[in-house]
Amino acid sequence: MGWNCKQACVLIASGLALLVATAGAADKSQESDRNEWRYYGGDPGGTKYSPLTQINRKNINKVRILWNRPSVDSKLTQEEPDLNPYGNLEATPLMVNGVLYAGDALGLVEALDPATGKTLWVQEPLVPGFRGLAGISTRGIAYWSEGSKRRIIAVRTDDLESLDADTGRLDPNFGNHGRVSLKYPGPSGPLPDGGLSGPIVVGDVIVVGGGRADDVSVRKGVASEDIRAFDVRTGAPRWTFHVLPRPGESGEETWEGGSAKLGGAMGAWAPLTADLELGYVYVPTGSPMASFYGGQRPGQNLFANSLICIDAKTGRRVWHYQLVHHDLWDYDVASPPVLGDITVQGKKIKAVMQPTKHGFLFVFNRVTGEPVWPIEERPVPASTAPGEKAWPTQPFPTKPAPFERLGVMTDDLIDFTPELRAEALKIAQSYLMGPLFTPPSVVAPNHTQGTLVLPGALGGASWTGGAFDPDTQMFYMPSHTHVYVKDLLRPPPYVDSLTMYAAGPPSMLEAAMEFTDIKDPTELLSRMAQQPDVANVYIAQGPDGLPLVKPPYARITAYDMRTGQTAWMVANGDGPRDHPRLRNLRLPPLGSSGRVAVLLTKTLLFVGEGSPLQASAPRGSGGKKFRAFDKATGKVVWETELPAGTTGAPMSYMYKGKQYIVVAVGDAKHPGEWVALGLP
Amino acid sequence: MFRRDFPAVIAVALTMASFSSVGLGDESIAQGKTDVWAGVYTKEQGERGHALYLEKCAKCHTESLTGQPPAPALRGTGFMLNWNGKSVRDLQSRIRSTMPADQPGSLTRPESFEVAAFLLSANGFPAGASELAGTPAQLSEILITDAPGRAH
Repeated sequence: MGWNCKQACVLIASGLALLVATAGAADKSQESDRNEWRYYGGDPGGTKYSPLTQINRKNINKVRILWNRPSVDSKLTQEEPDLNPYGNLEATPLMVNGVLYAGDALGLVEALDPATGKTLWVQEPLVPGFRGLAGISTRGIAYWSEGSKRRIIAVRTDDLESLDADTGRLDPNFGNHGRVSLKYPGPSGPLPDGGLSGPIVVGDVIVVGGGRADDVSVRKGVASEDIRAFDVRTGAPRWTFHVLPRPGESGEETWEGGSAKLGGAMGAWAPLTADLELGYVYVPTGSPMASFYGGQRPGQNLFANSLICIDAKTGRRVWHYQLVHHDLWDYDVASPPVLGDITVQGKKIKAVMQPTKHGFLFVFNRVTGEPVWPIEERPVPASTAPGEKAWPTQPFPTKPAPFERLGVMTDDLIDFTPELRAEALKIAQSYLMGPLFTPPSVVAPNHTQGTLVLPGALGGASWTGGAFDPDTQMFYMPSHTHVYVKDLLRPPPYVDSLTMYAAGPPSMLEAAMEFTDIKDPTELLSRMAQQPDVANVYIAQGPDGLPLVKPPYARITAYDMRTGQTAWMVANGDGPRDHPRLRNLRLPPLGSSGRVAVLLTKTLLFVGEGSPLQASAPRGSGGKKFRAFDKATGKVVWETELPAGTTGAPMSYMYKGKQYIVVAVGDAKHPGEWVALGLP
Repeated sequence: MFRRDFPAVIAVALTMASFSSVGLGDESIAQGKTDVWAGVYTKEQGERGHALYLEKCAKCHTESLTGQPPAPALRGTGFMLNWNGKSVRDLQSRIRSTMPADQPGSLTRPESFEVAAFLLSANGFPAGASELAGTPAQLSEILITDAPGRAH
């Protein structure tokens, strides 16, 4: 199929209809109108807070689904039967000037009627035919306007795109006929070079984080996923911040022995946030290449695993703080930094609150980078892996308390019954247990099977992030709990990766051979490569498929940011309490492990359970429930069941006198869909 | 010592092989529901798919189909967890609509059949006399299942 006349006519007609619909509606300023949802996280600071009050605690029981629809316009799927949108619709729509803009499950932007969900336009693809339509969901898009010029800025595959917000057509004055290539040099990674989380517009600058690979790969020479900025009007490059310092740049000294030349990855693949008054963008960076083994990259490895404050006009680094030194656990800083003003001991502070995969909420003055509460460098375990030199200390915030269980010790194992306790202990004893930051270890016969790592690399927190209530100064953090096994036996089947391992004394392969009867390297590699199921390898299983550690397995933690104290913590979802070995115990909710995002309104906290597609652990957990919690107590005040589990962050807006809450849902058998909730 | 699931998957593969049936080809598809045990692709098609897989897919899913985060495993229990109970149409159209992740939509329709054929081959489903092809409606009638005959 090409972008044929029929479709073009539909697009033009829809565009015209929209123009008529919005004619005379003077565009509002860049100031966020809180009846709308102008940024991925609701506002530039990513609070995920809406002050709307129509849906409230008194009437919540009347809330129902007002409309729902497949995320991909049905015309596309009817005309191209091979189009099969994936269920993992991670997007959150924007609502601006009476139009809902959303990336669909193919990554195409669609404009929808906020009251009905009906398609107003589908973006013009970059290339005609099936190729132009195929793709995957992205998380966020951005809106920008100047006078009568209104643009939707999106990242799809390896391109930054600027679309006319009235028609969905590419802006011919932006880049190369509406697009700018974001391709990094060198071979591609599994994810788009511009990442999935989307751009942010700060003033007249678009900032893109990157994150092609979230690079657990050990490919040698993988690109440095630099932070890039472009002119919002023309697409011209404005600046580039090198996450991997180049020769002579600050931070190069943290790659000992010249190891920066092996570098890369470290892209910021979570959504970015910004303070428009300061003109600063807040960038959470990922792990370096070979996230589980750093023998080839001795040193702290700046600017990996850091929160970086960058002047959006110039690209100048204002301040940074590395939250994990010399990462060995794939602890990307994977959540959007949340900006909010807090008052601590009578002092008003412009704060940035950064949740992490490893269960901490780091809080800084966002102007200066000074920690609001002291962050201590504490000694952590050394590595036993050949060639590995774990960094001797790691940053621990003294406040707030962690929102996740940290590390796996005997006391952390399940104890629902004495039998389960004994079985869990037996399983755990075949691994290396230890506190947070216990490094991955070599697996071998007559040795442990690797390190139990908690929080695992899926978080803790992830791109779904936390939420901040500017009225009450409360911070709400959803997180989930799973134990990863990190072992160092299996070199991926790349020649380059073996070169990397072999380049250090001694190589991982040699180390593995020391512990096995297989002395033929080819045979050993062949055996390693035959292991079929990465998911089972990475996530530790407890007895009979139960988790290995105590509940909750998904939780919401509320912090009072005036004091740094935990206000409450509750399990989110029933979790495995109906498991055959638990159901007679009449346990309270244990938490359904899934990746979820919170929506705050004036009176309520909304959150789903997460689709099984959303990094649930064990696989298949999560659920279809969508709940409203009392913000003050954590008590569930309402719940409903959606057509599938949530896959994206919910948002809210007011349109023609009615408040809507829209959230993406989907699963393996349910293509991505928008669900709009509200009062009848 | 290797991971616990290693021998289990060999066992699964052997079990699958023992249930291999004679290829039924397009005739059975035309008659209604069938499943991937009926020999719905040819050996040559699977081999062409293997070459394509190595070129387009292996850098993320690995040459041995083990996957590496975020790319899922395409063999063994990892594959069946995602695809058991779905149709070949689901598999082929998902490949064509979303993969390769860095160039989605770049496979032609015949190429997407070849890659799907290779994945069926790699998971122990038998080859048959006719190539995998057909309309989306026909492909929807071919069930991916770990239990032969469930479609009937």
